[in-house]
Amino acid sequence: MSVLKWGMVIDLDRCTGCGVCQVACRLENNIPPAGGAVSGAGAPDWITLERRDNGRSFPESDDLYLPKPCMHCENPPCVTACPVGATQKSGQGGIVSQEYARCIGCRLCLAACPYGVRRFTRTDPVWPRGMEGTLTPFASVRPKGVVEKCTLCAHRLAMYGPAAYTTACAEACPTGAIVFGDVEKLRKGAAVFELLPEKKTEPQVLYASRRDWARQGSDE
Amino acid sequence: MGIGRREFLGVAAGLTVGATASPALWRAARDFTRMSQDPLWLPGLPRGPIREITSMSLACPSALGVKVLLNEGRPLIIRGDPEHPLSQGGITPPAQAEARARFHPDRVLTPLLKNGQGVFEPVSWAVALDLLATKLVAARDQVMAVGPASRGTLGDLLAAFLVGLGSEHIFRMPSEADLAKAAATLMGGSGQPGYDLDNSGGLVLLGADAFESMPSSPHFRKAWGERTGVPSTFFGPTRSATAALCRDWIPLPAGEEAGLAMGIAWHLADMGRIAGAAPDLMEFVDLTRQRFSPADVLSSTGLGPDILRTVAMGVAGGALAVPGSFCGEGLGLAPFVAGLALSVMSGRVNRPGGVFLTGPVPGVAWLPDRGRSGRFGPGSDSHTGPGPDTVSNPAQDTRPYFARDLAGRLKDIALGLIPAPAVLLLVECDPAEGMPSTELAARAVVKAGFKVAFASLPTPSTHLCDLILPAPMPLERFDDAATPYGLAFASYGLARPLVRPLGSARHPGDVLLELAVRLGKPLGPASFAQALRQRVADLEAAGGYVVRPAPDGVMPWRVLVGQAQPAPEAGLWRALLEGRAWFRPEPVHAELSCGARFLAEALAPEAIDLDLPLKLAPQPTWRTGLAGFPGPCMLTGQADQSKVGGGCLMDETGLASASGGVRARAVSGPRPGETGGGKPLVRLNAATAREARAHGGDLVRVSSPAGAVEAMLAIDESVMDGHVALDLGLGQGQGGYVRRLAAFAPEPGSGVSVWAGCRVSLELL
Repeated sequence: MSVLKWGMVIDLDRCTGCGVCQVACRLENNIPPAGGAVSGAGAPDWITLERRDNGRSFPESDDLYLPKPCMHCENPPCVTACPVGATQKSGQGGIVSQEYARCIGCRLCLAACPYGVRRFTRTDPVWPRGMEGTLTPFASVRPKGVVEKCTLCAHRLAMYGPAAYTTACAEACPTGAIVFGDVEKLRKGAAVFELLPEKKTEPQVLYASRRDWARQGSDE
Repeated sequence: MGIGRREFLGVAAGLTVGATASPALWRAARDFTRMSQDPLWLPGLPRGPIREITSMSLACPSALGVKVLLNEGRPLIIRGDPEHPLSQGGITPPAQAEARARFHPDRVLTPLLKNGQGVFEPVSWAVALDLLATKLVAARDQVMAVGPASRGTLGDLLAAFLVGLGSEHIFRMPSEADLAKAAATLMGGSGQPGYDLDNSGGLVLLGADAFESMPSSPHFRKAWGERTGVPSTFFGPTRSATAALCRDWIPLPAGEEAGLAMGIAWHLADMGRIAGAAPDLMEFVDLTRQRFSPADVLSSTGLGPDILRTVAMGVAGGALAVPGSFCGEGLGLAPFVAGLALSVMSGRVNRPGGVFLTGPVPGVAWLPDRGRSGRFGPGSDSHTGPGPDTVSNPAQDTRPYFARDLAGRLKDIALGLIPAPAVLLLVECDPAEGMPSTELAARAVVKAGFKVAFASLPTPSTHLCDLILPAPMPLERFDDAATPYGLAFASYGLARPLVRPLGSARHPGDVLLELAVRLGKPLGPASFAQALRQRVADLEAAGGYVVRPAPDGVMPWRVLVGQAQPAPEAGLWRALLEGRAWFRPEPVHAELSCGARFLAEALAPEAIDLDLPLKLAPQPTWRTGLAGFPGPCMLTGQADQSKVGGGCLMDETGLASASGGVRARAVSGPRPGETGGGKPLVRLNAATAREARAHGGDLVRVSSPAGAVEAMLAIDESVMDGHVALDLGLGQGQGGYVRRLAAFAPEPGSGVSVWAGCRVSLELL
């Protein structure tokens, strides 16, 4: 009997780059509109949306959008790198957690993560007047000087239980491109692949595409 | 008495043991740690239970069902309602942003009157309404009003108000819905064309932006997202979000949508695959043979006969052909007529998986009745009011909507060809940014004698006005929405207020009703909510049904394929207030023509200005907002991405290390909604940029006869040759610069203002 591992399979052929997943994540996890100054991959989002193409010129060009949350790796380099145990591999479905109260802001985990999905808050979050009234109770407001990242909406596991557990991004996706669940059950078909397999991190967030260049990389 | 060494060590040891054993020290240490990690100046999280309420989104024109999570009466978060047939759990950024949008820093909270120095000053509602009533009385029938593009009771009420004043100058912001309806009318039918994607076996998007700017796109995304294996083709000049969900993207020059449809029709006729009938079918086929042969179409669109033949075989085999613009605006009637003619030829009108003509949502019967009874109009002002043969309610005007061409009217006013209105009412719309040739539209607004805007946020149009009246935002107001364009069945939904409006905002409907009473021409209902209630009562008597929650619910698209329609239920008002939706999947019977005579006139070859070698390709995106509603960027933070820089101009080093299996390029083209260094991004492919002797990162000026825009150039291979792509932003606050370039001209045969395929030039700065 295999151990349950929470994760996602993101069908890149169904992603239109609409950004609903990013907004859903922001609202659920109290990411402020102004964002604050962060370092990492630019935006404060816990799930980013990158545009990738096959490197060819029109009309042979092809492109897609790549939603990228924390990969919740089976062998997370960030956990190994963290000197204070602020990020841990959970025994409950393999979610890689982040405890802000323990984080000392050394950013070793940022350097260790090969996917660039961690964010360091360089300033306190700023909310336009009154908008702090829309904060949800699902995620604490992070002060400056800590690292934050996608938690797979772990609070929902506690709130709704395993049967109804899903992430905000998967729930909101208008095309059903993001499918959440036991990643071993979702890992079906030749179209499924993982990012940076050579890093041997065994991510629990997988991707699917029928396009060869997307799965295998450029032939350049 | 001295303290010896032994006593001192004993007391010190005791204190140390006591302090260590006491919880006080550890509590202090823990509190210090918490303080350092969770400073007091950070906002606290809400406590208490979270309540969930279902409603309908007003910020998104898709009439999506939403779940609103409330804490102590405050909306915290908006999610898609999985039980709602149109959303099925899906949602859009504008709908998601509703809770945060209320606290937009620039929100209009009180009536604002422009003083002699051109500065807005807060005034009371009493002062504002007294002034407006005085101006309306003085203006008599020289009042013009522009309403939002969306269909709802507010627009009908505005029309009735204008009729009451004796004016017929009622317009709404242009939309493809009006064009498609006008095309169907021209072809001899009635009703609003809708597209049955739910039941179709294939999809040919003749430019139609079905998965992005079309109001029903969230439902279409849900329907089509499950069917990635089904053949689907998108024709357009850029690989847009709609193209991303289709199996094939075939580049089509902007403005050639009608020629494409006629070319496909040629192949249908050539293959002998005509399954439908129309009174002018032979005339239509002759037209395609004379002017749209494969060689003609290759010349105008660059599409070879093999491509068109394959697509024609798909259409003949049951694929649904959807006409429209890749950016959701700018077309004339011809592309819609030609596109609908394909469905006529293939016998797909009012058939499952085809084009359905949906009837209007019943209701608002009280408006025309009162008009005919003379309660407003002839009875009060017979020399200016509608006579017995005129339509008393322009909202239900059966004349084709191209007779109400707002762009042309604003241009005439701006150029002084017709007198400017004495009073201009802008009800939750922004013509100074949302219309083509924005400078002309702004000049027209300025020329009006007294300009009033009903708005919740400042816009380019409100800045030109004399009086701004604050309107409530979604979650703060009653409102309704009828049949988002694109749906193959009639629908109706309601939203109710969940919180009090901020400031002294008042619903524009309530303000119009009060003004009508002040002017001695009451419209009937005492409040906008009562008007909605009357409409729902009329709706309840007109049939239709409300979809029950799963698993008992019968989806309206299942009714279109023969499933029995459930019986109407009592208590429609209550059901709608709970966020459920009313549907009536009953098509309007029609025998459409192919519009051959109109097409022969409208599709005359046009001259090409060699000084303007490129074509404009605006690209809409949900990320930057919707016409008439605030953009979600600032409220949800997506605007932050614009500060990063423009796509290929970004520092790729940080992201390159993050690339993975999809590693052809870490970051290639810019994402929708991005800007470059505070300037708009103009996107060209490398070959087009080479011809213009430009490179990525260059500052350029894009010019058209209507205006010019300075922008930063980005190389993007998802744009076809000879085109310049700019984010349209779907409206307010973000897309104005594109429309500044949109030089429009009347379409032959209809007079509709057309700017699709607008030509531009590009020069280096």
